Amino acid sequence: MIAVERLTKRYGSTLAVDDLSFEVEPGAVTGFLGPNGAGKTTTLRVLLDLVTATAGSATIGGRRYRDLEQPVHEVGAVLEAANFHPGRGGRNHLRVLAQAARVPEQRVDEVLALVGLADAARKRVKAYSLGMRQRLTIAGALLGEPNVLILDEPANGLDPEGIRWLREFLRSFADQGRTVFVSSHVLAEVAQLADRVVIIHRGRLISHTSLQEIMERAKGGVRVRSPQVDRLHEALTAAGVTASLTSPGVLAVQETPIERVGELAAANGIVLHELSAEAATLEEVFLELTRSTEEAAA
Amino acid sequence: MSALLSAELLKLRTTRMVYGLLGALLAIVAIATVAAIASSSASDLADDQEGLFAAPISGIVFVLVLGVMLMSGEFRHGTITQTLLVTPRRWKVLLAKLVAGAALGFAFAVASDLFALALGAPLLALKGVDLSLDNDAARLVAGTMGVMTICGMLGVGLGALIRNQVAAIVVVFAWLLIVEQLLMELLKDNAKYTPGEALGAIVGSDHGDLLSTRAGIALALAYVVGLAGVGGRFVFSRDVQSIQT
Repeated sequence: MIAVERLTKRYGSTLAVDDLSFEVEPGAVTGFLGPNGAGKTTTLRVLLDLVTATAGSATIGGRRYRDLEQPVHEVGAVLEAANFHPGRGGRNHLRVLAQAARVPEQRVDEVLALVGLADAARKRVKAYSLGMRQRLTIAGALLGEPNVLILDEPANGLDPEGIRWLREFLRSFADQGRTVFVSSHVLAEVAQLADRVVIIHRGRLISHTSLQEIMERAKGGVRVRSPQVDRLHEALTAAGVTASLTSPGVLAVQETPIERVGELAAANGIVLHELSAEAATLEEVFLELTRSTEEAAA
Repeated sequence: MSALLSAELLKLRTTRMVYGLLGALLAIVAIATVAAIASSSASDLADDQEGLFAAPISGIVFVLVLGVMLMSGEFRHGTITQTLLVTPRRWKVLLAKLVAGAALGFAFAVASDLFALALGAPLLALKGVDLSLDNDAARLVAGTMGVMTICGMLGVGLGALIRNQVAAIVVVFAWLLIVEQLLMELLKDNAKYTPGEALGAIVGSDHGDLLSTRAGIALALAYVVGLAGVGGRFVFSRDVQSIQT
């Protein structure tokens, strides 16, 4: 089990992680969701003892990473995909890690085959695509057959096929009762992948919100452009639909299916020039969420 | 520890840099050895064959640079992240790298001395001179091995102190080309305590202005401990962030 307790990390005057507490249980894929700059990477780096916490603690199975007997056999970590010497071959990269962790060399070929890199094993990493580097990082994390996997934005650079593979892999990993903790700033990714989710923004836990609610908010509204925008506004209001004029001739409609907006316009004989769904970005959703929390607090 | 050491040595063996620099050193040794024998008369060569083993010491530059790269190269390429994930106790990593640096320096010294011998012996025979390795030559060879071994560790120590690889390598050259001379001017009678003079005491046969061999070794090792200690405590221990590429 991963436990983060009252974790704070300060860089100069910036608070990257602010009194953050959460737990990650085994047997499930737990998503770590937040917009870019929310403090996800910093939290994971503290958890892996690459970065020192200003206050609080982060432990795996009750111990700090540096106190694990054999970290590679207990925890596999996939951080950014750029951590390679470009002149070293993919297989040699894994051999170095295996050597240091006392993992038998045959395991190197096993994990290479597992991530689908067996054919490129002898090529130098310089010649690898971003997706191949990401696979190589994942292979490295699996060397010691760990029970805990920690991944920081693992889908970055992976092609759709790679993402599907990763999703299935993480699923079966968790189904074996092991722990998966995977960060992402892409809502759809987490929604597809995770059983549970830890949501942070500006270094703090957003505990009052469920993934469901965020997805609902991220759906955004409907944008309608019409030469008869005033009539449309009246018709929508009469039907109990909230809408607001965002620019001349354009209405933003909230919390209403796009079909209903179109049907209402047709029923009233209103000409439409545009009818489109507008998805909100995660950043926008989070901004709105924080605004509402601050208002609630005030 | 032995697993970590072999991992460090494997890192060195699996990139081309080591082979490139070893090749460059052997080329220098070849040129210097041929020149030394070609330019001396047979009678001089019969008297004094120390010059045969003079060139390998120029390998300290390569060994210093490789030592630096063992450490700061990991930050340059971001591989330090994975190294520390396998071995989160950083002092273990530093120690393994110091030993790897020493092994590297020793290997470079042995390789270039053997190369000088393999090249020099037939050339001497061509000139009709017998190969006779006297005490001075033996001392030079042993000294070169000692100095190169320590330089490998000095490079690692410097890399622990200066994470930026380019900056660390610039420091190596600035030291060798400028700072050492400046210090010798400034320190006058105490010049024998500079790193360069400490190394000189290990390899030199004339100890007029130098420390004794033993004191030279002790002082050079103290420099290693100082660099690695300060670097390990205050720099290598810092946060390791993701690198931007």
